[in-house]
Order: sequence, then C-alpha cells, then structure tokens
Amino acid sequence: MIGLNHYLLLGAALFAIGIFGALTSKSALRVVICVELILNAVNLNLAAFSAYVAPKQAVGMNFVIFLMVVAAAEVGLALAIIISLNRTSDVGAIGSIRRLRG
Amino acid sequence: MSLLAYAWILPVLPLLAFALVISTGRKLPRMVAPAAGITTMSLVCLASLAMLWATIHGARFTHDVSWIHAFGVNVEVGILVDPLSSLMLVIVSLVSMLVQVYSIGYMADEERFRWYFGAISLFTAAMIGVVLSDGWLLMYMCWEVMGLASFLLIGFWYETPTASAASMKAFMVTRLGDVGFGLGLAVMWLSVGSFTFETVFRRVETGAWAGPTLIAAALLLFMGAMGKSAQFPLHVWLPDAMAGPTPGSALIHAATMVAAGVYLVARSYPLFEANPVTLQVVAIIGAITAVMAALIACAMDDIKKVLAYSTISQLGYMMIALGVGSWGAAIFHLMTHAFFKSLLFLAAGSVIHGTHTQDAREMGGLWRKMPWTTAVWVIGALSLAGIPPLAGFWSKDEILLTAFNGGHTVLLVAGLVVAFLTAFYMGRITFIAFFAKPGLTSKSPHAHESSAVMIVPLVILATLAAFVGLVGAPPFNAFAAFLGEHADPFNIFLALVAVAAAVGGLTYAWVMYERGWAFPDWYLRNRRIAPVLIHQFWIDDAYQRVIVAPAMALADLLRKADVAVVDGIVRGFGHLGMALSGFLAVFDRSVVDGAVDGLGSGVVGGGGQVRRIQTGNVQTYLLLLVASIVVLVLVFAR
Repeated sequence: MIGLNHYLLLGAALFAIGIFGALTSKSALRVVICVELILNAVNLNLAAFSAYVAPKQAVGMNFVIFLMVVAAAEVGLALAIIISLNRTSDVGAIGSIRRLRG
Repeated sequence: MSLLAYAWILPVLPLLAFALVISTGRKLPRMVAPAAGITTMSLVCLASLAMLWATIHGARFTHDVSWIHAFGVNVEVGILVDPLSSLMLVIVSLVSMLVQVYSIGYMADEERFRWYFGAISLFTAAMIGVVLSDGWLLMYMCWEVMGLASFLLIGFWYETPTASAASMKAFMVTRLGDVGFGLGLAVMWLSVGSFTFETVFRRVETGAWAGPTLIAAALLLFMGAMGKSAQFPLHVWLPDAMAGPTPGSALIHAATMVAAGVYLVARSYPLFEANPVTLQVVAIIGAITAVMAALIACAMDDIKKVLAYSTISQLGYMMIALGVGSWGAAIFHLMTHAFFKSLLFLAAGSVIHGTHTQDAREMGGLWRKMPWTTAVWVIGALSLAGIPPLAGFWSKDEILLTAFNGGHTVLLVAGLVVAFLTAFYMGRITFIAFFAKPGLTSKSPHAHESSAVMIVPLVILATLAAFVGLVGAPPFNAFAAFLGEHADPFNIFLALVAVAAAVGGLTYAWVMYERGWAFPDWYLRNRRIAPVLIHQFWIDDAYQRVIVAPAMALADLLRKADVAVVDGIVRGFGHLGMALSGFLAVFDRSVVDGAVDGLGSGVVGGGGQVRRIQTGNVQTYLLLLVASIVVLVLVFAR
C-alpha cells in the first residue's frame, strides 16, 4: 500500500538528486534542469501533503499550480540567461561565471 | 643774552643726529651718518665759540624749569652758561668734531660705520648736557648717558671677547663711583632740598650747610669723579677701555669724558673748599694716581696703553691742582690736556692704521714713512712732557706753582716726579716707535701715511696743542682771569725746575733708547721693580681676589643651591609627571588604543576572511545554503 511516506521519500530523493546535480554540474543547462527537479520535488511534497493531510481544502494543490507557473517562467528566464551568456562569453560551464562575486 | 638763552638746543642737535642714525640703520646712506654728526657738531662748535665770546664779555645765563612739582617737593632742572661751561662746550664740540672728521678715514672699513657715529653723537649730546646743567641732578642723568655711550664705544667690536669684557668692566667700575655720586645727591637733597648749584652754594657760603653731611656729600661726589676720571683705585677700567676704536678713545677716554670728573669737582668746588679735609683727600688720591700711573706707563709697550696710563696720570695731576686749591689751574690743564692727548691718541690711531700693530716694538723708524704723523706726535709728546712754549708747559707750571705757593711740598715733589716720568715715558715710546732702527719683527717697512681726512684734524689739533697754552701764559694770565680765579705770579725758578725735570726725562730716554748708553728698559729686568710695574701694582689682581673671586664663589654657591634645591624640586615634579604620564601612555597605548585598533583590525581581518566566501560562484552559495539548512534542520528538528 502506497502511503504518504512513500511520496515524501520520493520527493526527498528527487530533492537530493536535484541538489546534487545543481551543486556538481558544470553545465549551466544541467543546473537549470536540476533546479527543475528540486522544484518538482517540492511540488510532489505539497501535492502529497495536500492529498493526505487536508484533502478537502486542496491548499497544497493551489500552491503546486502556482509553483508550476513560477517554474515555467523561471525556466524561460534561465534559458534566456544561459543563451545570452553563451552568446556573449561563449561559456557553458557555470563554474567559470564569477561575475556575481562582490 | 638772547643767544645764550638758546643754549638748550646744543645737546639736542647731536641727539637728533643720534636719533637719525639709530632709527634708520642700514637704510641710511653710508656717508650720511658722519655728515649728520659733523654738521651738527660744527653748528654746536660755532655756537659754543659765539657763547664763549659772549661770556668773555661778561654775559651769563641761567634758567630753571620745574621738573617735579608734587607732594611739597620741587625739583628743578635747568641750564647754566658761564665761563666754565662755555669753555667746556668749546673743548667738547671742537674735539668731537675733529675726531668725527678723522673717523671717516679711520673707520672707513668698519661694518658698523653708521652706528659708530651715532654713538659718538649720543656721547657728545650727553657731555654737552653735563657741562650745561645748572644742577647736579641733570648732570647726573647726562653723566650716566655718557657712561652708556662709553660702554657702547669700548664694546664697539663686541665680537672680540676682550672688547666686550673691557666694556663690561668699564661700566661696572664707573658704576661703583656713580653709586657714590648718587648717594652724595641723596645727602645733598636731605640737607639742602635742592640740586641747583646756586641754591646749594649759597647755603654753603652762609654756613647753613656745614659739618659731616657736607664732608660726606663732597666725598661721595668725589667718588663719582674718581670712577669717571679713573682715579686710584677705580682707574682699572681705563687701560682696558683701549679695546675700543682709537678715535673713540681719543674723544671719550682721553679728552672729554674722563675729564668730566675733574669738571665735577671744579664745578662743585665750594663744597670741597668748605672743608680742607676733602681737598686733602682729593689731592692725595690725585698724587697717588699720578705717580702710580706714570710709573706703569714706563713699562708699557702698547702705544695706546702708554697713552691710557698717561691719561690717568694727567687726570691725577688735575686732581692735585684741585686739591691744592686751584680749580682754575685744573681746568686749564684739562683744556690743554684735551687737545694734546686727543692729538696723541689720533696720531697713535694713524700709526695703528698704517702699521696694523699697537706694539711699539713692532714699529721703529716710522718718521721716514709717516712724516706728518711723526711731526704732530712729537708736538703732542713735547706738549705733554711740558716743554715751553707748548701748551702742556703752561698748565703744568701753573699746577706746580699753586702747590709750591700753598706750601704743599709733598705734592710739589710728586708733581715734579710725575713731570720727569711723563717726559721719560713719552720720550721712550717716541724713540722706540718713531726713531729707533726697525727691528726684525718691525712692520714699519710696510707702513703708509694716512689720508688727508685723518691728517687735517691732526694738524689742527697740533696747532692747538702747541699754542692754546698761551692763553694762560704770564704775564697776562688771561685764562684764570676769565674763570674768575686769581693766578699766582710767575715763578721763574720753579718754571726752570719743571723744565729741567721734563728735559731730564727726555734726555734720559734719549740716552737709553737712542744712544744706548744706558741699558734699555733696565728697570724691567730688575727683579724687584719689574713685577710691580708689569702687574700694575697688583690692583687688578687685588680686585680679582677681593671682589671678583668672592663674588664668583658666592654666585657659584648660589648656583649650586639653586641646582640642588630649586632645580631639585622642579625636576622632582618633572620626574613625577614623567612617570605618571609614562604609565598613562602605556595604558593609553595598550588599553584604549588596543581596543580601538583591535576593533579596527578585527573588522578588517574578519572582513578579509569573510570575503573569501564571496567567491562569486553560484554553486558555492548554493552549497552553503544547503549546508546551512542541513545544520538548521539537525539543530531544530529534534
């Protein structure tokens, strides 16, 4: 029988994979994909809690919808940045981008 | 009459010249300083001659103004023109003018050329003030200014230690006499309540002022005269004063200022006449001074030192004249002495200018190189020695005559001895410097005659030194009559003795230094006589032992006390303060500064460390974010 814990474990696994990928990937594109994974892990948790803890209110579901929209916007933005970076400085590796350094 | 009323202008004129020089300094064109001095002095000289002419014809003038009028005290100062003061005015202004003309040549290379003429003008103004004042108070004030001018001129080359020491010595020693003068004035004020000659003399003549206070006042005034006129034992400053410029010495330390003491006694004569004891003191001091200085003069090789001791000796001669009762003879000798001694000093200056040495042994044979100087020197020397008919003979004869007629045998013998010695030492220095064959160290071969600006005043003075004595020559004795003194009839026997003494002295010098028949300077090789003369009777040494050394010892003791006690306390406070502030400094540095610096460096260091986290790498930030969340979860999610 699949219960809440299975969902949470799956979400945690996805989150961990996403974090791992975001931290270790050299490619900016892969970092973006990994960030998507993290977001979706959170979405999974929200949906699972919504379904198991308070199915009637469906608050978590609403959050999931919002997050998906946000994620879509974020992906659009992130892809635009990556393309722009590739065009201007011809770099694919995220480690070499240090302009954020203060 | 109307002319004499303007006599107060006379001291003002040279004072203006002095003011001009001292207020403009280096901005004044170089030749303006002597021009101002000589112009004013020529005016004063002409006015003095006119006033002398007026006084000869019986004019007199005196005028007082109330100076201090308060609390029942009325102090008057004023001027007096009578034969004595008008005569002194002529002497002072004439010699001062000639000396200034001469100085244009003598001082030409000096840096402080203008200042020299300023000081001479200041001196002349003061001296004119002394002889014009109609009371002792104004005279005392001008007297002190004169002392200042003397100090300034002796110390003219103040860079040389001897000159600055000599100026200090002259100032201190004359000050010693002036303390007496001041005390005499105090006694006079307490006894009479006035400083004017007229008032005081009337009180003395009527017998209203007599007794011990009068004797004390007269002797105290004489102390001032002793200081200024370099009488034993206050004569020590005058030989040292030769460190000053020679023309200045001629004016101040030979012709005029040193004669002010004689003038003071002559002017105050009623005070001295009232008590024979005071006259005796004057005569004895004068005789001791005259003989002692004449003896020392025989041992000097420095041409200026010989003249300095000669001056002291001749001033003693004048004091003898005053002491034996003839102030007229004293003033007569003062006048002739002023001319022939300033002549001798200026001639010596010409020699020094030409040879660059003052030591007679480094001269010799100067008559070939400096004929004019030699001629005027010989006239001056013969006049001083008392050879008729030169001026010195007449005045000296009158002094001896007064002593003889007064029955002062000891003083007469002293006078004759001095006459002999005077002729001897003048002969000695004349033969050595001017006529002897130049020695190996002689500087005569390079000597040159001085310029006309120096020779002309010398010739004028030589004329005066030769002929001015005739005004007092018998049978007319015009000089004494002019001063209102009686003159004793000429005594041919005494005159012959005096001339014999003078000729004897000159002959002995000629025998010793020119012919070599007697061993030159034998007395300087005698074991008994030489030390006395060379050490100048040990008077300077006595001052050194009795006054200077104890004063120095006391000063040293006080200095040590000062160092030990006063300085100790001050230093103690200082050390205490140092210790306290040292502690505070350490505290300040370690704690206060430490806190501030520590904060600063902590921030800087911490910032440096934290800065490293800020790599700019997004993944690092993310890692830290995750790690932080993990830590937070581990901490709080229990």
